Amino acid sequence: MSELVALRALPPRFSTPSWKAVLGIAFLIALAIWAFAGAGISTEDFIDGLPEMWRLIGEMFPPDIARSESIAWSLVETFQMALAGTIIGVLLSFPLSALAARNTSPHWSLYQVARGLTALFRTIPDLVWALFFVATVGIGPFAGTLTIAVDTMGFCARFFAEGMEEADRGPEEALKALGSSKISIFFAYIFPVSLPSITNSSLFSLEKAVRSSVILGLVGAGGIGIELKVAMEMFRYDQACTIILCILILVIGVERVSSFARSRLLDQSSR
Amino acid sequence: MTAAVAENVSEQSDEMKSHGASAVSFSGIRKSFGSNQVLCGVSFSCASHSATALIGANGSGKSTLLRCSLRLIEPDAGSIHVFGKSVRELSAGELRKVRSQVGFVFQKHNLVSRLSALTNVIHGAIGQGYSFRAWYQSIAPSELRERAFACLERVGLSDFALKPVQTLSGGQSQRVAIARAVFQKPKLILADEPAASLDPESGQQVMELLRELTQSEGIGLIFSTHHIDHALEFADRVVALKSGTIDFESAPDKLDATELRKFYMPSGSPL
Repeated sequence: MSELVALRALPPRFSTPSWKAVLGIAFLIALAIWAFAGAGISTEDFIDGLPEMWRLIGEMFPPDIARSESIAWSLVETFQMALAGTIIGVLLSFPLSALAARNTSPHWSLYQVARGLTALFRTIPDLVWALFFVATVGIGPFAGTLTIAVDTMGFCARFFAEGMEEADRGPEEALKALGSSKISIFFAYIFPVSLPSITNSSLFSLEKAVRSSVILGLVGAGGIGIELKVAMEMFRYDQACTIILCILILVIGVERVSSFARSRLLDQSSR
Repeated sequence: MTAAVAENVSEQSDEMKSHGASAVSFSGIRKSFGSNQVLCGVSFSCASHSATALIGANGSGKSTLLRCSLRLIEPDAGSIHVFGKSVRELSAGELRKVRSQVGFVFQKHNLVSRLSALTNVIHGAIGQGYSFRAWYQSIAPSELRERAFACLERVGLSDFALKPVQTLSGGQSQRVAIARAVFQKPKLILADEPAASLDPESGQQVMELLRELTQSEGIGLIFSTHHIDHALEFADRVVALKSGTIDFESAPDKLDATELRKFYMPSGSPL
């Protein structure tokens, strides 16, 4: 077989970046330098703090399990808050996401309102929501549950809506041609094709809720956070260690179960 | 058959009697997408119980014309009558009723992935008064499930009834789409290049199936195609579109395949 020889010149491996790309990269580098300058990074302080870190870790071991029963109940409460808050948040995210998706929203004004609400829920940090709910409904797990529900809505409504918007237009046109109403198109097509994305986002939001529910106790919104705060303030680092280990077990456990559930649910979604 | 469906069919027959035997008629249809004029005053009509092939090069307006007939695309000007009803003057509810009486088979089948073949066939009843009970086979009335299963049997896919449609081959998916159209008990089926995405053998089988089902059920058929052989073999009448206008229409026995192929050449016209 004769060797093939191209008649035209071989294109270069790399193309020369445009002046806009060079300017963009220079801007990003300048931005990073500016951020480091303002972040108060001090190698000296870090090195000075190393023996202190080592001492604190040393005081954590062996972990003190004297208050394990109380810690276990707080851990259960943390999980209950996370699960209940996620369920409320996911359920409320459905209508909100249907209004916040371009292809399912009945009117542009509703679309804008739904998008605005979703952004509001998402951009305000959960600790701020926790402070708000502690001040309005009082100290305890209910404030934490409401915080998680709002935080979940901000997260899920956005991703549910994006999943719905990714739905291919072809089957939607086919259902329209069959005489379907908008609501039938939503439930017979948009919902089932978005289900993998909805399942994924819901399980991720449960994992996220478990992690954030640990912190909420620091401001009085229930859960194990308050136990951790008290232990640290009383310099009982050995008790704090027990609490941190319990949190670690809970978070990893929820992540494992969530991954397993995700793979099983996504495999069996034909109906 | 429910009272609502029986009433629809009876209304439809009365309308058809008053407008002759024409299932669809187009008069002066114009449609532009931006500066690109796709249809430039197309007029023709298709009799019930007959098969019409629409041929023409890419961009000649075949798909647009078929979509205009059910207002899946809104024409800019002209009138369209389906079963004697002027579809451009129908309210949203009336339009859905007309759409539910016409089967539409798309080039890429447009089935709802992740749902079973049986559910996709049952979707054919969504516009016929069954509402949410036609969203999924699991909640459909027994009558619908039995009829849909019989339709799958007719297209040779009853063994695949509960298979998610994304696991089916292109030819099998197109047969499910045909079963969905037949399930509607339509008086007319519109098929937009039903064999275009299939290999020659599957394409031939799909066309044979469409022809057999429409002939045995007395259903009118309008299909667009690039396959000259399909147009000559399966149609009672061939309508050729060129640059958004009708170039010629003729009975297939008066056309010669070799001459007809010249129609696809840049300046060719067989007649």
